[in-house]
Amino acid sequence: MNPDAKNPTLCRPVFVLAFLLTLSFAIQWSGKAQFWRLYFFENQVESFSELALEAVPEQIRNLAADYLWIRVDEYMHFGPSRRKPGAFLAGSYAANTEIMPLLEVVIRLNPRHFDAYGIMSENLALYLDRFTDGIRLLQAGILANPLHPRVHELFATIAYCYGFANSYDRRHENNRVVALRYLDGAFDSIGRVGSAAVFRDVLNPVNYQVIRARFLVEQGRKEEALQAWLAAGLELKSTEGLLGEYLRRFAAGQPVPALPEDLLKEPGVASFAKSVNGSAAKSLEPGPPSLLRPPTEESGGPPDLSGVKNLSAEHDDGHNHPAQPSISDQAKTWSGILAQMALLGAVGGVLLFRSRK
Amino acid sequence: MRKILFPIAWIGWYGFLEAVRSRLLLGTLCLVLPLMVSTWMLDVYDVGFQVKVVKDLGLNIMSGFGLLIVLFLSLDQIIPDIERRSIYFVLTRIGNRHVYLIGRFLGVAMTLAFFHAVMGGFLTVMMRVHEGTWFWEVPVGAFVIFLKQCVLVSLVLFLTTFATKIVVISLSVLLYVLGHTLEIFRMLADRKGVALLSYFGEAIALVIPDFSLYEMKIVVVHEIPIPLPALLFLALYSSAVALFYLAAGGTVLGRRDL
Repeated sequence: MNPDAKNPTLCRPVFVLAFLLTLSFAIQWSGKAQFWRLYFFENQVESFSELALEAVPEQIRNLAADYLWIRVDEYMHFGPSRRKPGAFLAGSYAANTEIMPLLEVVIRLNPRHFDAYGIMSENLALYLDRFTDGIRLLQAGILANPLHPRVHELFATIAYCYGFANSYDRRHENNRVVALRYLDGAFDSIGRVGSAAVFRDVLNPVNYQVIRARFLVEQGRKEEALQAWLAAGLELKSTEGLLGEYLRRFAAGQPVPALPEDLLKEPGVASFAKSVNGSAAKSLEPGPPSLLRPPTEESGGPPDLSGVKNLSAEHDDGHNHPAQPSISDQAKTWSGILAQMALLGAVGGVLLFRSRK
Repeated sequence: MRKILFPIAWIGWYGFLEAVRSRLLLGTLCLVLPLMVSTWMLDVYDVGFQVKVVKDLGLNIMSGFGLLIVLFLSLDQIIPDIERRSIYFVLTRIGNRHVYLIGRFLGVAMTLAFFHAVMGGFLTVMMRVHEGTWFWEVPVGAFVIFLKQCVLVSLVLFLTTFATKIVVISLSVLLYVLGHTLEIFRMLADRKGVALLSYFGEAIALVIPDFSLYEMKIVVVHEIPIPLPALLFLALYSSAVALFYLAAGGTVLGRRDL
């Protein structure tokens, strides 16, 4: 007797099942390979927690992120805890560590929540001595929002951080070469976004070109610096600042020192610089040049390209904003509440009294 | 008076014991406490223990868990008793359906008080361990959440006296949301100048509890002192509203043919 004939009915279904399983796998992976664009994750998933979040509908995640963003604004306005005073003033984003966990959750829920990146990176890089973490966060923001109308701001912020790091933390050296690359990245991003690009007071191509010109001069690439200056639409004259005067002289073929600040050593230039900047002495100090136009803060401080400080300046009133709890709200119509209390209490009492019978 | 208070106390006590022994609730509590602890794990950049965030999220978790207790426990009080016919045994002993309803309410309220005391105490102690100071506004916040949920329990119990489970859940959620947004609704109706809508809003505002009175999370999180008279007023308001709904529920139950 044929041993295979002992279980004739078992082999066939097993073979059929195995065949169907293999066929289904082959179809599945062939389909994914051919139509891979249909299976592209919109957000980059780098950890299991992000993978778990992908299961939550994006609309709900965005709603939660927006709600937390409102809480961030509330925390910012109320100021630090009374029992554990923080290093920030009410109305200021700077060094407000209470908002950091909330912003982190906002970014994880909605990586396209653009404004959170600027605030968090400012806190990290400039006030919490987490320079590298701040840069990484901005880079993550760029990857998550490649076609955002304001993505150039993130590039420019990174350029600013690299370009003027030493002004905030003496442990970090200025890296103008990397800063120039990110400024070029800012212009590339503006080109990618096209007409949808949005510019604000400080973060705009004019200021980017001015910063580029300044860095290029420092790199010894004066010709490129001149081109950048002209691309900004600025004129080559002394009233445009020390850098304008420097490039005017260079364009005119006159001998120029290595840096624009060296012009101040020349007699007669210091007073002219003072009239332009209002602070000739500060121009000699190492640090970010106060030559940008138009800075929104006083010329004494380093110019802030992130734009976030502009935002905090709008809120930086130095005052706490204690909320009226609804129970103490004098504007509330308490007559309605009292009437309701009296009415319901009376009705309830009557019903209970009658039920005793 | 003894004939009324003793049955209420016994029904409430046994309801509380039954709830506390429930593995579902205890298991959920075992999840909630680590969730509260994990709120400071949001500190990805290691900036330190964030008091406000931990308080805020802790109170939200407390409120969420309390809502679960309200919904699941309240639905399991009266409807199952009627379906299983075990309510007859209770009513023959106590004779008064109002007493039965108030006893059930007391059981859920005691359960809420127990779990809120555990969660509030845990959060307060956790913050004390980290920060070295007592944040007494956290237990006050837990008390306010407890008052709010007691009002919701009375509302749900009232609905269970005449509706099915699914209707109770739907109406409870609707009334909960309405209770939070009624003031805005009335303001908008006034602004639009639609008189009918405005009168309608005024009418239902007399009957539906104003849950927005209990929104004290901002005050607790930002350490704004809550005046004692405000707390007492809130307790009085909660008592009046709960009394109405329990009395109305008892009346409906009394007229219902079981």
